[in-house]
Amino acid sequence: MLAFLTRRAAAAVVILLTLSLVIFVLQAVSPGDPARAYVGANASPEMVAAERQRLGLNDPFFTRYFHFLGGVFTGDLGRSLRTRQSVVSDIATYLPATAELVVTAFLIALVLAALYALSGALRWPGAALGRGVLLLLAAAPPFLLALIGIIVFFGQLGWLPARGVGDFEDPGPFGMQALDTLLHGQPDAFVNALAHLALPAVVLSIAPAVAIGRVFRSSLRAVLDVDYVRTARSKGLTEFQVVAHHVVRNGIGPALSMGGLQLGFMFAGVVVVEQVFSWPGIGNYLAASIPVADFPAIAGVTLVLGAIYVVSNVVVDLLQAVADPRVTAE
Amino acid sequence: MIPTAVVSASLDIANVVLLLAALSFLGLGQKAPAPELGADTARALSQLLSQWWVPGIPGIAVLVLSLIANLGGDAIRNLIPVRR
Repeated sequence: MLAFLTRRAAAAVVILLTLSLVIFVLQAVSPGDPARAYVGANASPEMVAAERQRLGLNDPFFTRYFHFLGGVFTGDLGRSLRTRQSVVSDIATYLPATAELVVTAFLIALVLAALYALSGALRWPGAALGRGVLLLLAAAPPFLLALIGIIVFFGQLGWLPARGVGDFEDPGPFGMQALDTLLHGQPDAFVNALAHLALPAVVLSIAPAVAIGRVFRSSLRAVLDVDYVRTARSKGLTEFQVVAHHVVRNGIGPALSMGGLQLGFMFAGVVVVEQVFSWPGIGNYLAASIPVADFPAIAGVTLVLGAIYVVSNVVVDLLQAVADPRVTAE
Repeated sequence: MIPTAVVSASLDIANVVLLLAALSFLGLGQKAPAPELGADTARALSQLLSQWWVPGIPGIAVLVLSLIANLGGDAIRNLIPVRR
């Protein structure tokens, strides 16, 4: 177990180093000039040149890269050219809202994926129709789902809000509106926060739900044909008992690894959803940073998202060993 | 090897379509005169609640495109025997 964790941690460091190098190369070849962005369009050439010198942009490529790496290891990701705040504090401001949205969406995705797979295995009526609807929704671009959600539930029915995280002041300490208001025992604000979460979380959950559900369904189908399932049926167990006790645990492995993958993807896919719903998260921060070539912010967010992606995959590998003792975490 | 790659690539077309539409929706695609479905939707967002079809139709076009790519990928997978 310890050897496994050490190896995965070492691999994670290599992945993140490679990622940071790729970002740096992209910055070096991209046409935007961070110094120009920092001083503004009306600045004189001398001011731009002085700013380039001050930001260290005239240094050789590897000098800049190692300078950046040194900052990463000491918890300093530089200063955003757009907000003029340190990138670390910007990320600390915006990440909690994103985490709340993604975790909520992931839980919805798990429920939908389980329904997608189990409804077929248990031969529920209407299972094929439900699957078809989910497959159709998953083929839609996320922004279209978001717009349909806004038109129907905000514009026509007026049930759900379409912008932001909530109408109440966030009492802290996590920066997650629903969790914080629940911890402070504010039912009105909590319900309000959940209503704001509903549309973006459901929109974000559709694609991963189908991805996980498809994998789960095909592995359940494979397990349903093996001998011990026939034995369990011939013992007189109901189909539900057979599936719950004998099939799910043996078939959940591939779905777990797909789940980890999708959780990582969701942190990247959240950008569009946050943009449409004006969600004050890291995706909105990133979307605002890219057009103005705010390189420190882009690099910092990319590194943090990369780290989340790597960690969630390690956690899934550990979960797999828990679900199936034959898989040792080696 | 080649059949596997063809199947995988054909199924990926839908993902690429969706990714490209998302990027152009965020304003990271081709610049304005070039037609882009995602950007067409993003530009018309202010009309969403009054004339939904202006931002809606380009999005539906992306949906149709990715649906066709998905179905086509499935069909190719059924045509080519892939060993698992």
